[in-house]
Amino acid sequence: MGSAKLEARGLGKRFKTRGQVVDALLGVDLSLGDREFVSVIGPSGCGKSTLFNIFAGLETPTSGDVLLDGRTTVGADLLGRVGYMPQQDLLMPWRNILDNTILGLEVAGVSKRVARERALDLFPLFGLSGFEKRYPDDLSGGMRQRAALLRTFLAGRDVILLDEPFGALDSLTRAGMQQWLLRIWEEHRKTILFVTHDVDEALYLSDRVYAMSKRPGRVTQILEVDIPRPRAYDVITSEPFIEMKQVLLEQLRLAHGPGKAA
Amino acid sequence: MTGTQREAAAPIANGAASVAPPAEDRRDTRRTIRRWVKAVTPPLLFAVFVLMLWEALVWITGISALLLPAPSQIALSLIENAGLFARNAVVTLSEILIGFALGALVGVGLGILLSYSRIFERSVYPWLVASQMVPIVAVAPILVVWFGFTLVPKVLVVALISFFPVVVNTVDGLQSVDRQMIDLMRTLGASRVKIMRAVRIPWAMPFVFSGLKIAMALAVVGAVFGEWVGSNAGLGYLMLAFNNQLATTDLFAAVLVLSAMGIALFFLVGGVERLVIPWHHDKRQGGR
Ligand SMILES: Nc1ncnc2c1ncn2[C@@H]1O[C@H](COP(=O)(O)OP(=O)(O)OP(=O)(O)O)[C@@H](O)[C@H]1O
Ligand SMILES: [Mg+2]
Repeated sequence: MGSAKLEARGLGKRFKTRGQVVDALLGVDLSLGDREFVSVIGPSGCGKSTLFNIFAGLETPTSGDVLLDGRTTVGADLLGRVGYMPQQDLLMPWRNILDNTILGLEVAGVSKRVARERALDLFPLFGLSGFEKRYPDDLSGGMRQRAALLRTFLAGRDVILLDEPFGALDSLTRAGMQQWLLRIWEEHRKTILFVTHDVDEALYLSDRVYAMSKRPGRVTQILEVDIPRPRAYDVITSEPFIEMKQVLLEQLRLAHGPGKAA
Repeated sequence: MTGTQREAAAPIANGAASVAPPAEDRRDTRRTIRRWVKAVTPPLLFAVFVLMLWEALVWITGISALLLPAPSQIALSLIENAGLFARNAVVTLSEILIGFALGALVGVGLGILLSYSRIFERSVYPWLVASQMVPIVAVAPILVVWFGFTLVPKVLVVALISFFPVVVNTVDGLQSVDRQMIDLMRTLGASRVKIMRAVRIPWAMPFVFSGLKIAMALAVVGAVFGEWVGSNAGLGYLMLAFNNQLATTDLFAAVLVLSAMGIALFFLVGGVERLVIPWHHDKRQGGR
């Protein structure tokens, strides 16, 4: 297991608010190898964002360990080590798109001029050309997500956590974004952990999928997606894909419990 | 297949960049002018109507100018005493501007300090509120005793009266910041100072400007009050002098000059706001 970039061992998180105790995560084991694309899928409220917050250093686990590059790293020590794109794009309305994307470089102490040059090189790839000087309010949802992604990429971390980046997009835009993300991932050799509610999305993108149960969040299944890459989009209608999809859906249905819709 | 996204995005992007903005800009300026005309015309027409009514009333009733001068008489006084008004307006204006700048600076600075440290906030904030309960009427004469008939007591009265709304709004703004935006900065490895500069302060700017507008309105009143307590120049001093001389027409003229100055200063703050945080203004316009 020495090759894992990021690893969770027996991770648990308990929230105590106003006398109420909520176990968001319970004994979660998860491993993310170098340059892997791994997805986490599970019902709403099962602790996916909580898991990401722990990986990013925003929350401290109540039990278990996080290992970064094989070394146990706790709480705030993870801050600034892992790239994180939260569920909301969180673009700053007072910065134009260009200056939003260079935030990570700016924090790292890179001069604005150099940071802007480096960002501009990537604007075409992220489909943002011509919108450098626009403000976030002028952009469509898809473009805002791409801008937030560019901000995450430019921060330059090896491991990137993406929390439902395409959750708010229509299915057509979404399919385009998925193919595009795979291309970026392949070109830039990043390690990506990805949260989604969408089974097709998880299988199409990932090397491995972790299915989680509803609260308290536990890993109920680990599915290796051995479909060769590069993957054309029509693999989602191929037989092995559909078989895996059935397995995963069945698992999620069990996780959800009877009588509840996804 | 991987090319579709890029091909789809690129033409839209380039088209919007090279063609749309100039046309849009022209349309924007025209729209801005139209909006201005629309905003200014009704109050102007209303003022003309009231002035005419006032003028007619004075001539019909033959009321003494000592009690109620006609607008035409006030206008005449303005022209005849233009030099006098200008000289004294400059005095009052400098009191307002210096005092306001001082109050704003202290207000914003204190606001930032207060939101930096919880203990500092908890020990100082209540006293700030308490300080506003001390009537300025009681403080101003003491200031005059200390500093004489100079600029200083007026500037201090203006500063004292205008810093409070700035502090309160700055603190509110800094504290209302989106928690998640701060968390995002933390995951990027940002320090507290960097977070303050890159997130908290820009976030608080609209709040700060709300405070500054209120402060400016209060500053004008503060300057006049400061002059009433002890001075030998300024519009407030003129008003007092005219009042003693029963020069009602000139008094009205002085009030007019002061009001015009106050309105101009208020809108000046609004103009600065648009320059400093254009993104906020654009957003509000879009919301209408
Ligand atoms: N700071 C907190 N204090 C108390 N409870 C919390 C806190 N953060 C999360 N929780 C609880 O922990 C559980 C997991 O929340 P989390 O946001 O991780 O779910 P999620 O899987 O990301 O859901 P979604 O798919 O809707 O985004 C929820 O029941 C939530 O109410
Ligand atoms: Mg979530």
